[in-house]
Amino acid sequence: MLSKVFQFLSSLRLTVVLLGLGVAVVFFGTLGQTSDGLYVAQERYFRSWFAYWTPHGSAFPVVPLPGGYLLGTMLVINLIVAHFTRFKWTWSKSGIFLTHIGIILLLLGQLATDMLARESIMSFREGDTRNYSESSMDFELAVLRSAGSNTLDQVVAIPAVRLKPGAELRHELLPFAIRVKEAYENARIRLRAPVMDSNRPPAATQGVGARIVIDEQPPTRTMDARNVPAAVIEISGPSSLGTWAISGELKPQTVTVEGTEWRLEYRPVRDYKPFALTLLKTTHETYPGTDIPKNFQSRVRLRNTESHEDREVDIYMNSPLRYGGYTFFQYQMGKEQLADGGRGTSALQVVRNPSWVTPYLGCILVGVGLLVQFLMHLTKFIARRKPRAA
Amino acid sequence: MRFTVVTVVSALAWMAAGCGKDEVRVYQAPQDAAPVAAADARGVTPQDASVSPASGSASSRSATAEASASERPAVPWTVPAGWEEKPASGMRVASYGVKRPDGRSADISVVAMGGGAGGELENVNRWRDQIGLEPATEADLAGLRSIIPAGNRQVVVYELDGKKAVLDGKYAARTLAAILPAGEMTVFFKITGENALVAEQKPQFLAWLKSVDTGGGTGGSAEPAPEASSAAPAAPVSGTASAAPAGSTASSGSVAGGGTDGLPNWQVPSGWKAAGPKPMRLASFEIPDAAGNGDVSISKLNGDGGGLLANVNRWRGQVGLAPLETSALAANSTALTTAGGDSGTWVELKGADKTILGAIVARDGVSWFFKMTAPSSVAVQNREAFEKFVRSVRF
Repeated sequence: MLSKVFQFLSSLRLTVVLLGLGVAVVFFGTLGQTSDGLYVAQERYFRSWFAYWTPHGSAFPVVPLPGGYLLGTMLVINLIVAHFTRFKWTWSKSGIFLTHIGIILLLLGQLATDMLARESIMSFREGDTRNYSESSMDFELAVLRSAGSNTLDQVVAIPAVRLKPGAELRHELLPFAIRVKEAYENARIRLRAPVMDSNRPPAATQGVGARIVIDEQPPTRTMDARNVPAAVIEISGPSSLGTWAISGELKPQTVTVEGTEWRLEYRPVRDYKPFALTLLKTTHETYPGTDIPKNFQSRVRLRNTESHEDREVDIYMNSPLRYGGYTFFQYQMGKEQLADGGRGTSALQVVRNPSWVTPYLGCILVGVGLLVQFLMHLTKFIARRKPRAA
Repeated sequence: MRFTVVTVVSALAWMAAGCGKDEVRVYQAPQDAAPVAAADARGVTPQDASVSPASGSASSRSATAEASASERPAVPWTVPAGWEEKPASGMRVASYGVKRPDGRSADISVVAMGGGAGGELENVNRWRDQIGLEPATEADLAGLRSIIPAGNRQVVVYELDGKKAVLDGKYAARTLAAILPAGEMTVFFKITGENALVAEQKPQFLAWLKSVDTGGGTGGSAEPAPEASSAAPAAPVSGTASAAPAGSTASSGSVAGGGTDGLPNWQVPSGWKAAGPKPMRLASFEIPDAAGNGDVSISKLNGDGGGLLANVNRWRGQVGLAPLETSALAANSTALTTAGGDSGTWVELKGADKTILGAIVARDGVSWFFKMTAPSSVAVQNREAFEKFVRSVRF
């Protein structure tokens, strides 16, 4: 029985079927991108175990597909099991072995990139200093309190996915519970108009929530817009401290619990760095007479108090800053529309990918493996020809 | 061998578990610097800054053009002679320019921002920096500012005289800027340009400031009237600093800020949805219907708003009806009395496919316009509700 399972797992037929399915997933994933947008399509078809494709306008899923994770995992298992069952180690096959190790490394490296790589955005105006970058997709409810000094905050950051209606959130560092009353994936905030909204109550009882209403919006799937979540939460310490509206559009609000001031801020997930960048100057050049960008360039000052580094760096297209395990790419640029001569703004894409080296290593192994295999065949072929020629 | 497979599979499963994305994180972080005005509208990424104003202003401009055609442009101030209107963009509520044939020019802007908008000193220093002046200190401010009355309140005015030739390398610049706190917003009126030209324009600028209608005259809520936005999609002086909405689609406009001061009381029929702010309007409602949504607008104009006949004929034009003669107006309208005892004129204008129901109520030198535009079938169904709504008005 077990041997049959291994026979199946190691079969070349399985490899071919998996590769064929891979082609199908790429095809339907590309189709799905038109309606879902890049990010959702990636999640649905490639970063999943199972997927299905639904034609536009159909209410039912039509084409069931294996997800990217399933295909990748099966391919790795297939290759590894095949090595233990079908392949026999000989020197003459060392090239094939190397090639296969390279492929396994590619597959695992891609999975590691998928799991470990983090992309975020650092955006600032000329003169601003940032020591954190922000997620472009995910939000968190940050509950902040002064950490005893004037410059540090103690932060308890609750991911937005935990804010589900009905959830009760507690944390040992918080002297109150947070009960989620309402949660919206995408919503806009507007001031409650006293007359116009006479048939709608305010979003919450406390803070700015008492003066606003939350308009739920359909979640956006496009690349150039993002969802701004909102929620209504109840803070309850020894007694209830009322309901509060939180949203990515609102500034921090202060809640006083037993004499301590806490701040609530619904914000993009932050990733703090042990160093800081100051945006000194932005250069935004276009080709004359067009809006086509020619050069986006940010001059930043990099300061690391631990290593006493303090230097200026230019970041521009194709010339990122690599520092501290992060890569900073020039991403977007704009100008504050405040007044003439407004300050330039710049956004850097910050990528941290601990496994960035695996694809290079994998490709080298595959290349070397193929070369070795080819040379061995060649030398054998030449050696066989020689006696006849003589 | 089995061990290897199990190890690999479990390693994959662990990695697939997502490495703690859902977990609450606890850390210490440096406190954020005090937010500066523009950063209040969170979510405005630099991309938004560079992309959306372009598209946004285009759409708001066309919206305004449309609105101007149907609602008559209205800004809560008198534009001085010689000032040329420019399209508003980005954070600007209004924009004007003055040009001289010799190439000298001045730029006039109105910008509304949340809260203290970064503080007086920061703004003054930004303006100083723009015309090549050294930063001032908090102590200098008192000596730099002058206070003038405008409308029913005091306005802080700064006159900054640049000496360096910062404009085209030829001209020195001068800036006159006024700061008007309005509820939870701050409105900046500013003229900047060639030094002598701005000095020459100073009387016009001050007259302009004085002409700013701060609405209602109650003193407490001295915003320019909500229909102020000549070009921006949102009313300039509503919204709060703490509810600063992202992007340029600042919501809330119409009746906020002034509270109920600016608007009468009324009963909103069930099923109506408050719609976002629109130029020239004090309030908007949407009547959802599968056959096409109905649109209800409330606006006001000073005086007779151009006259009853002109307005009725404008509406008639909007549904494709021929204009009426003065003599025919009485036969085509009825009188209506609101709950507050004000009398008005009620018209029903049925076009080929859409219908306008409207009421015009004149009161204290102001004309109020209540108007429903809807596909004819929807208008018939909602006629009673709309009439009830208009009748419920109490000033």
